[in-house]
Amino acid sequence: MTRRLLSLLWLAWSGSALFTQSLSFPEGLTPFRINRAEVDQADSVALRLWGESYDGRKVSLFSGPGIPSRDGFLCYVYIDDDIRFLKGESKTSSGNTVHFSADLGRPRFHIAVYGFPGRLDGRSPWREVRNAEELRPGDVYVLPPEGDPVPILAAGIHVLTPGTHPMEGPDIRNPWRGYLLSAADLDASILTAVLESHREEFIAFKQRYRELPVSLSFQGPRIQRQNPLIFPPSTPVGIALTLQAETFRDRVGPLHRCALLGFSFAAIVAVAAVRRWEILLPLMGIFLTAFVIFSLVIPVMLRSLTVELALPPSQEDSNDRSIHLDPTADSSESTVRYRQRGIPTGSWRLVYRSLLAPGGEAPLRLFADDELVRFNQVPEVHQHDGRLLLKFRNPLSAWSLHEPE
Amino acid sequence: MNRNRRLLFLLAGILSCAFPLLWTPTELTPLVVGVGWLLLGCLAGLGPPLQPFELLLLSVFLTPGLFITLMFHADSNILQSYASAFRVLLALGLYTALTGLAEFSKTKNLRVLLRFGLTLAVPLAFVLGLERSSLLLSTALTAFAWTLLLFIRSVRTRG
Repeated sequence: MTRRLLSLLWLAWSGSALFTQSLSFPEGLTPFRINRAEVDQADSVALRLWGESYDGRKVSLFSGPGIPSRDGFLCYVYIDDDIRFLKGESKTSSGNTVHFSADLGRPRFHIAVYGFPGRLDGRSPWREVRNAEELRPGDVYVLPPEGDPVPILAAGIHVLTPGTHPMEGPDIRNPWRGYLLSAADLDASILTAVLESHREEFIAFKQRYRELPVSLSFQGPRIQRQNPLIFPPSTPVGIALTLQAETFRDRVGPLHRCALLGFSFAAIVAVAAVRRWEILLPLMGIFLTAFVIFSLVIPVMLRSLTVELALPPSQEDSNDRSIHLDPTADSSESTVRYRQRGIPTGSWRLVYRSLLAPGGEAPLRLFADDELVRFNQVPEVHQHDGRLLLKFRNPLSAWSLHEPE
Repeated sequence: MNRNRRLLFLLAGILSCAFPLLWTPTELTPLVVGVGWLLLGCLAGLGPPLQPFELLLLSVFLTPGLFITLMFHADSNILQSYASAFRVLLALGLYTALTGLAEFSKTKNLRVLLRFGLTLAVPLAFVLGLERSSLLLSTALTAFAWTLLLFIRSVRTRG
């Protein structure tokens, strides 16, 4: 009897062990990015992921069945630096529910270094990377003497190279350009000493890029139009919010507006004119039925606003930082685009976007090209009928910084 | 339906239509929208209790404006908007049934007091739980109140 009971317990434990799974992030998990997550499980009918912030707030991050892949299922989550834990549950077709969680920890501030000979020994804030494409503004590229530093510096990356150079140090005319620093030799100890001597400068430089969308200010931008808009707050966010209020002034679409007006007009006339409720009630029923059918048939329109601003050449040069926004032609009627006049190629761009969709759903592909994007809220990635959608409340605003093309 | 009530319904209908078209894009939640429309319905139904056909008429009048506001100003999708609108109409039905029950009170002062009290109490109940409750519970509650009302009425008529 005891043996049978033990066998049964063992069988039950083995069965439950079959459903253990793992959640992994093959491309890393970075704040302000739509991260790809893999769930190592053969069978999942409903997958739900949520984040818990430092103050205990629960934020829904993903819901849907997940996209089948070779090893399990794929899903996408957007997180910001306020998310402390990532938790989730997955339901299988047999009715089992599996829970998992990951402690994201506080996002570490680091400066990536590429091409460093030897090891940096994990000294904060330096972090070695094996691929130059992983470098972002504020990171460091150790360049051999034969390499060309100019395009790297233009991308906001610091260059450490042997020999002496006329462009050495920060560029006063362009504070967004990386620093060119020379070292006597490409020796690990010499390079470490150079890095350490510029430590505070490098941290301040990188921090400036991270805080860029909210820290920059512009003066009186103008739009080519008959009634110029006034932008009381002169930050890019303020400019964009003013444009958003202008673009999304009328939230109700034209067809829905016509449907509501048509119903109301007919109903008001009927209530005012028809005295007998035996006639009035069926008449109103017909009006309401027509409205309901119409509301189900009318397509829901996504509207979006895009504003592209170039970084000012210098923060110190505050004499004329006014910018001129030109409305640009767009194929879609529901999209309004403004671009700063004469953005030179090879300059950094700050792209602001705002989306408005009744029901608060927009396709994820709209942000496919933006690696790092700051949303005004944490949208939930939602999979529905094979499509990946962002779910959000009210207009979804996003700021992203784009490298020179 | 008397003239004053007809005018009240017309006013409520115009308000229900005008609000979603004139509201500037500030954030609204489905709860705020629902309470707003429920209060509008309760105020339009002030005075003698609404007859069933008057309740239906008022509900039909308010539904499109409520639906459009929920969908475009409270970011609900089509089905959520109709479900929320249905909840508001059920709460309005509950209010009508309760005001009908209040008519059985003996003194006129108490009746008036109860009408005003219910105009505040039903929206408050909506905020505190009816908005989040299931459609089944809301329907059951309203149906119970109406059954009670009709039962007492029939007993009184026989008596």
